[in-house]
Amino acid sequence: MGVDLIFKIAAIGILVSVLHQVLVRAGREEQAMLTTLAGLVVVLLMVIGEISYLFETVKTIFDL
Amino acid sequence: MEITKVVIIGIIGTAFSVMLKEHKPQMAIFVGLSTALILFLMLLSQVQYVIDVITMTALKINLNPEYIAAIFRMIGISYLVQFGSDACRDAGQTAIASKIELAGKITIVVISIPVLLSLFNMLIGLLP
Repeated sequence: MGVDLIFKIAAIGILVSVLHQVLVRAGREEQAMLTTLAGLVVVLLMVIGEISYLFETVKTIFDL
Repeated sequence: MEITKVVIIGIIGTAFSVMLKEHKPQMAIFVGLSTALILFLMLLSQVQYVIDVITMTALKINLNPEYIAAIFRMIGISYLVQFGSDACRDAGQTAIASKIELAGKITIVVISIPVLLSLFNMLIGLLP
């Protein structure tokens, strides 16, 4: 994946925080919390995939 | 491997993480984690090269390859444990971080047991 993973996660983070503020201002706290949750889940899935790739690589290199 | 690339990526990741920390601390944790992950992945190719060289020389002077494998396994475990515990410490969970480090230490001791046993056997053999 490389460096653009950082930019993707940062972009999602900024988007989610903006959406959260907009929804909170509009008086919809539940939707705001849900969008934050959705953003978190998306980022988590991306990071988990990369972490499992990293652990596999380390395992093969050090033959753990 | 361009060291400047590593430094720049680290700084960019830190900048994004700090920017996000104020509004969304959860996202900041993930940005920091992914930056560390990418830097670690970039280094692994260098580590692979070092390991190949060391195993080659060790085989040449016919050391027991099992001991070399144990050493590299320990190094690998310490890298992984360091990565995990730092990620937890970044997120503020020092208790979890110390538990991960404890698990890593125990695993390393378990791996080093066969090496120790063979050392003792050799010593006992030397005694008159």
